[in-house]
Amino acid sequence: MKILALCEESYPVMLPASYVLFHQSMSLERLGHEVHLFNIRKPVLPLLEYLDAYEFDLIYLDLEHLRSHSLLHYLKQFRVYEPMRVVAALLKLPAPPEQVWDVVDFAVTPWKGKTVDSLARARDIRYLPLGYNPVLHVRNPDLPPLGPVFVGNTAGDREQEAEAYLKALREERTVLCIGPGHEQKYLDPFMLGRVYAAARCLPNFHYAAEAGGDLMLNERFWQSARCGIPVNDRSPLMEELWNDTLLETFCFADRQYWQDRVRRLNSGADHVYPEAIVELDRSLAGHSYDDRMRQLIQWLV
Amino acid sequence: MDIAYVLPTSWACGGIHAVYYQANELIARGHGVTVFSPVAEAAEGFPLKAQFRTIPAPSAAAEQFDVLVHVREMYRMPGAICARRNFLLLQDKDHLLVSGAKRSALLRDYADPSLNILAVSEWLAQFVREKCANNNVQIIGNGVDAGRYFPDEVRRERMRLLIEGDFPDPMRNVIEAIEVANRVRQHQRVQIWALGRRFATPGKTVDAVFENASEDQIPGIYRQCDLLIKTAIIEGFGRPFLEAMACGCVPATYASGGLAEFCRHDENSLVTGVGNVSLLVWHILRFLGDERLRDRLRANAIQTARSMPWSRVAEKLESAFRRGLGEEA
Repeated sequence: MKILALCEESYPVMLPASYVLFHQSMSLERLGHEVHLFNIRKPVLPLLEYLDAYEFDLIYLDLEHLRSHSLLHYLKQFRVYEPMRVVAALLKLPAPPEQVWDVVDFAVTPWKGKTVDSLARARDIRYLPLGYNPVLHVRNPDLPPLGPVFVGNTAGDREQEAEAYLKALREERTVLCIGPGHEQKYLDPFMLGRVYAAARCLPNFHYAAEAGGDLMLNERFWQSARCGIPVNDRSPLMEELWNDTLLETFCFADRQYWQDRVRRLNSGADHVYPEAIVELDRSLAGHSYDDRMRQLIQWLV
Repeated sequence: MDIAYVLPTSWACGGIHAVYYQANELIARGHGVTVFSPVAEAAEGFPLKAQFRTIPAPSAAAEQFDVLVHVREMYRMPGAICARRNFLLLQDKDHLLVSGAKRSALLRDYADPSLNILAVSEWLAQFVREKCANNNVQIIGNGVDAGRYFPDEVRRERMRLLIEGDFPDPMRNVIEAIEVANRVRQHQRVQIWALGRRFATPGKTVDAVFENASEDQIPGIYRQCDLLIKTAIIEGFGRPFLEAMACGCVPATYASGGLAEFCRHDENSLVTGVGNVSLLVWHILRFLGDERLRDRLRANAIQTARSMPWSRVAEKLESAFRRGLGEEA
């Protein structure tokens, strides 16, 4: 399948959606598809000309892109004379206004809960969680240990919440924080897996959207579990994936316990039985981006 | 056959050189070839064996040929050159480079069933057949001169990446190739060279620039590099890739049109979707980190180039001309 994915960065740097697309397009390519990226912020050709120059089977975009009236207009116009599938990813809540749904066949989303349930009454929205990259995110016990690492975009409206989790650990130099809101601003996506694997202990938490009844397992959830020893907060979605042993070993609902677990793993006071790691790895089977993209393609053919 | 080519220019861009190679090969096969251009000087440094002339004024006495091959928009140019059969050499989606009336005129030409279209790739032929509803199109491909473009056996301590194309040039999109090479450099110690007719202010992103290199110098530059990175949005064929392959320099590129017909991912090249910077970086990192992959791709690239000599193009041209003249079924 020849796929045109719309993006705002050709290389993941600033936007979480670019990282997701990076892994998804790598998986799609591994599955034998050709993924072109069209940067809507810096188009070399107008979109309609680009669509005319190549024969695509699918346009894949972030639903947020359709907030742009011109893009919405172009796609509506194009679909009139070229029958082409359009699939959107709903990565950010709340969803854009009603009219965007006219140009998409269906949307995929890693979210579950109140907002998506309500949208799904009138729209075709399918649950497609985020995942890990089976090539880039792997354990590597040969790497010299680095100590706990948190990598994430914690800038902006999420800053306060991230601070509540990370500030103390960062200040006492228990956790190395990397991301736009931290002293270390950026980590190349090709390095992330190696840094995670070297870190061993990988703190992760989810944000308050969950308090409003919308749930999502973030990329860090999948990738940290795949590369090292995750220390998660607790989300009801984890209960769909993990048994009690795994939940007790890798999830800590209370923030203080969460922080203490990171400290104790770092100091060596806590350790994780190898059997738990084997069980953790087993729980991740079928949750790579390859599996996600296989599912997406299955929906399309 | 008496064959005439009408060029829009004589300066040494890839598309024009392809015509010169075609002309030389057709002469070698016993045909008479004249190349017409708005300027009467053939490109410097190219041993063109055909007669090279200025396009005569429309009022001049008519000259008759068996076959007249128009290159790009020259079909619309009035002149005193007549032929039993007119052909249009389609080397790229040229209509995307112009707009308004010029674009409409080109698209009308492509749709004209009385004009025999010679496409350099199946991708272009498909465009003519499907978008312009014209079935009078034949694929002639492109070739490589094995006498000029050949590999050597030098092994380098540090890998060298070559960027090819003018900078800036939006369609050639060299800026993205520079980004790819420099993202790779964040992970691996590599040298970055650039080759183009003009290359503006590369700064520290490029270690050496070869501006306006002659046809004689280019094979040597390819031979000294391990990978050729090109990130054009659209390539009618991508002949530099074929020449680089012949020199043992492996293409790292977007699947931008015609090149996908001979650049095959993980077989003789590294190919990813257009605009997919991160995947191109990934493939280059794999290449740099895996000696067996490098050796396999290089050997296959050389083999691919050897299988595409200009004589093969000339055979297809002869066949297309004969068919156009009604001499062959």
